[in-house]
Amino acid sequence: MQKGFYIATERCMGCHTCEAACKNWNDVEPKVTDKPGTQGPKWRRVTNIESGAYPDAQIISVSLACMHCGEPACVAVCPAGAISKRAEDGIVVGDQNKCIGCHYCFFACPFGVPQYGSSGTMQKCNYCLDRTEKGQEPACVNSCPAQAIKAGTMDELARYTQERMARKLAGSTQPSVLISR
Amino acid sequence: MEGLQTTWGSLIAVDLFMGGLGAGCFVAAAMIALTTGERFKPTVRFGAWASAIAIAVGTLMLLTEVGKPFRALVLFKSFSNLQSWMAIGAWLVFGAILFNGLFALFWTESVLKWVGAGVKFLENRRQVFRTILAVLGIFLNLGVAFYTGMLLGVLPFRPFWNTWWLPALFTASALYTGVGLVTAYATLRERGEGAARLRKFLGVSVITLILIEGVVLGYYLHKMLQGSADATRAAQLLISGAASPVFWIIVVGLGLAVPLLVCLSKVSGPVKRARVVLPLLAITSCLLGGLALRFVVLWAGVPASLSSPSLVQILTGIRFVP
Repeated sequence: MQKGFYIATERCMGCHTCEAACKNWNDVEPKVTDKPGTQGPKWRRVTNIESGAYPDAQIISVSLACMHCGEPACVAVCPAGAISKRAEDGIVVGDQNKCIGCHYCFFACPFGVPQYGSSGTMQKCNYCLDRTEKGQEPACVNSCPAQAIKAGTMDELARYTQERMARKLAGSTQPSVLISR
Repeated sequence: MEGLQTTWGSLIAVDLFMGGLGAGCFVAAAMIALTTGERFKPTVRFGAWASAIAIAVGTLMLLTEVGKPFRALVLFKSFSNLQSWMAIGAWLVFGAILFNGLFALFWTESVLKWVGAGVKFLENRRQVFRTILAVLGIFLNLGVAFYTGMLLGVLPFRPFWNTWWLPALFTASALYTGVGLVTAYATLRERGEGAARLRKFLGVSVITLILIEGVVLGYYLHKMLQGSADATRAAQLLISGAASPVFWIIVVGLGLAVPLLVCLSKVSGPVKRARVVLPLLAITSCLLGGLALRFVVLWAGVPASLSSPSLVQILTGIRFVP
């Protein structure tokens, strides 16, 4: 079984509520340094992608976190074996007690997902396991006012998105994310 | 600097440089030991100690760059995933520090005498041990030099790094800087019978290694410029972008051209004076160039802009990926 996310960009309005809920629930530090303009790690990030040209230009907001890849590059390169892919649900998790903070996973990940806080160790989305293992939804899904994020197994998500022209994100690491536009 | 990769910074560059320098020093010292026996003992001893110390210093630099340095020191836990080139490299480097240190001890008379007083076996057969350590050490140290390139070369989403030409370049640079340092020492230190021949042989070796590094560097950049748009953009950072002053002035000018001119003048014989100044100028330039090479390669390791082309394709509606 492989769990993942579905992102409905046609519903996303770029309000960043998912980012805030993720930081709040997972107690992600707001800042690493006091340097003006710097930000702490964000396990979920809303990115605005511009396309077209005036007068047909548009901005699409897309909320992305760890892709919980089928073949995660981060797991393969981690020297300490601190990142693993859970056999039961395919979620990719990091072990803060094993990580040496070498940043090798950051360079291996095609999506720039691994991040580092003041502890020096890698941190990223863990699919809110403390919620999902109790049957609750991840904080980002639960908080989105537009219901633009959905979590579930890839089979469930594929069934759910059949009518929505959603497509699986392609890539050599097999990201577990469906996106519709 | 704007547009350059800076997550891995100066300490990693120093680590990659020192690892290569140490490996090159060992290869040079071991080759001299294997071909001339005990005749040039001071040079072999210098190369052996320099190799162990350079790799150890480089490793310390790496440790200070990671988030949890003390945790990283517990090697069997922190480097347990032997599919990772960082783990492979950590064990190679650890082995090389011990191995090169042991080789250096076998070439340090005072230590040998002290140990030999208790263990006659070691004292009597020291030349056999030296030969075995030299041969095995050459392979181990070539592995260290190669690892410094493979560490970056296996990362698929960094187009400038993800090529076999990178380990080839770093190995060539490792041998050039290491042999260069041992050559400079031999030029300044060795006198007497055979010293002139040794200096000439080492000078020719350095010229050959400069030419090899120059060709590999040129072909590497050519491949990048012919490659994907991301690889081309990264290569242009070196050729005409933010890293170009360091690349052209220090890597190419000081690192390759100045030592080449010095070696050519020394080997071909027009310059008989400046016995100290020229070797010092050449080795300083060579080492600065080698260090700067690691910096510019690290800076050019910017991520592929379309790490997931399908994401952009989906969002911009250009093409759906099935």
